[in-house]
Amino acid sequence: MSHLELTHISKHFRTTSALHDLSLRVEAGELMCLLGPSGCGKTTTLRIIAGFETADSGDVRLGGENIVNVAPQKRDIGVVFQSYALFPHLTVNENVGFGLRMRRRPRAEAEAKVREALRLVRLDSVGDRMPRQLSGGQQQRVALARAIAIQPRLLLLDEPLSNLDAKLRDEMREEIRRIQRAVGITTIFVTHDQREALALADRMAIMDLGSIVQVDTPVNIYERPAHPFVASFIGQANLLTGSVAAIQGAVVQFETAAGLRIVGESRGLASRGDVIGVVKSERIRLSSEPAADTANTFPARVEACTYLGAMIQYHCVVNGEKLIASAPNRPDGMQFAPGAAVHASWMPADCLVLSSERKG
Amino acid sequence: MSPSRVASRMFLGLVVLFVVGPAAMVIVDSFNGATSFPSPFQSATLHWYVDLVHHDEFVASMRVSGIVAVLAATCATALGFFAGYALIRYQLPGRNAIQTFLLGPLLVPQIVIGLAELQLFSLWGVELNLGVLVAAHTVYVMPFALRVIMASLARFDFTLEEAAYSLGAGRLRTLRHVTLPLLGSGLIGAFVFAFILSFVNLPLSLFLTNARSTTLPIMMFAYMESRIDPLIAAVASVVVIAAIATTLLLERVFRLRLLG
Repeated sequence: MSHLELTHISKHFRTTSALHDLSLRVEAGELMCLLGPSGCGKTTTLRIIAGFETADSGDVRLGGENIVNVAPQKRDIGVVFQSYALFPHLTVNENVGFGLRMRRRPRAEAEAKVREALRLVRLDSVGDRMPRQLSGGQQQRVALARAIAIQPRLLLLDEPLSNLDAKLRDEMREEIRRIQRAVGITTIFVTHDQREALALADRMAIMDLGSIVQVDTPVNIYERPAHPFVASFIGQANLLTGSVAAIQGAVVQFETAAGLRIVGESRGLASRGDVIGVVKSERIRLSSEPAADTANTFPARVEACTYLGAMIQYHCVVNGEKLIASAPNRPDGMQFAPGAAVHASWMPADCLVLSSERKG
Repeated sequence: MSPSRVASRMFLGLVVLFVVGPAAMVIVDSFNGATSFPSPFQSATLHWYVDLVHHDEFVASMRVSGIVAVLAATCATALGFFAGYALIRYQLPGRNAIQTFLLGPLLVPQIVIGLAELQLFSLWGVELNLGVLVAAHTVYVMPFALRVIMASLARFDFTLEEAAYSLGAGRLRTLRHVTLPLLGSGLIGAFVFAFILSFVNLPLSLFLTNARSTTLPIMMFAYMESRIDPLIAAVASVVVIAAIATTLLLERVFRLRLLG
């Protein structure tokens, strides 16, 4: 039995439908990321788990107990809000101790737990300050300390890093991971930033249009997307549509409308017909000569280059088909100028073939 | 000086001339030894204040006005809070209609409200008493309180309530520990505003008071109809000074800015 189980959750708002028949299991101690474009229903899912919204149908089970009818204040679920939602009229100590005070814990015990929570987020020295006297990163830590001080059964984080600047964001991301491991608390982290999700998650759930499309480890989500949406949403992927010409075990040959014959691999195509070949941009090699080690090598023309610092992105055209290739910016790497005639190639194993008819 | 500064100085000057000036004149006159009012300053005396303290009817009417204003302001603040909370927090259907309805008493002349309530209460066979007066004043001052409270609720971050729920506080304790403390200045502002409006109200009270529930403005009105001496200036001064003192005290105690 999983620690948290959402089963067949549906939710409609007055005019729009937010979630359709959503199911998700989160194991004890796991850090699960809900990732999806804005408006996909990830925050609504979080609010239903916290009890701030009520699902129209479906069950929420925490530790085996159905908590659909349990008020939020009785759920024992810690929440870190996007805006932090620190109580501005209370000191840091009072903020962190709020949950313990509401639980009527003895003063000495509460004080010890507040100190412990603040030490865990490495903020021992600001207990007497007011939230407005702290920096954004410090407020974030206080919000985290406040949520874990009650030793909740589940920790929910709603885009907690989105208000921080880039450098602090990476630092806090590692902090959250460290603290989550140290406490061992089951955590759900909502984000629209795939880098964040890939770096943090034990497993991640990709959401689109109010449903979960795929749940898997970051590596599997990135390397083996099960659905065209996941493939296009994660990383920089080229989606090549075509129809199957031949299937031999896992190896699939298909032909695009522009006439490219591509060899890829699938994880069991259900049927012949229309397919999508997914090639991540960093798996495409550009060279002046055709590649000898793969059948997927095509003459291409570089249309434009984008300099990204650590990477360089090439926008190429192959037989009228657009391809994006990216290469690390290294002194020994190949460099091409716009207009250059090149060869684009990739290994069959780097082209995942998905049925374009399959629904996730 | 920039034009906007000049304009704001001029505005300040007009306020002093037409609002502060007359009030100051009344206070000066209340120490005037002359027996008619208004008249040139003759000699300084505390005579009128001594008279006032021994004037049982004035003292009684101040008490009535104080009680009515405290009760009406309390009711108006409480009702204004609940109404404002519902209007701002929830997407109520017909929200604008409800808001217009609640602010309605602002649009009706007080004389009309007073007369209508008098008719209503006599239709119901309710005798005029303090309760009737409090009810009438509440109807009239509630929209003012509601406006002030809605303004402070509009700036309130309701996520804080959700944070409190998630930490184990139920609705009542969230209200007590989070919502009310953070809305404090708005609620106190609403209360003070409502209190003053009720305390100085004449038109409503004209219709709804009896001999035992005469309010201070009625008493002053009645007194001035029969005679005019600086005693009335002393009464007015007490009211003005009490209002300023209360506001300053509240500012100090609750660290608010009521007087800008």
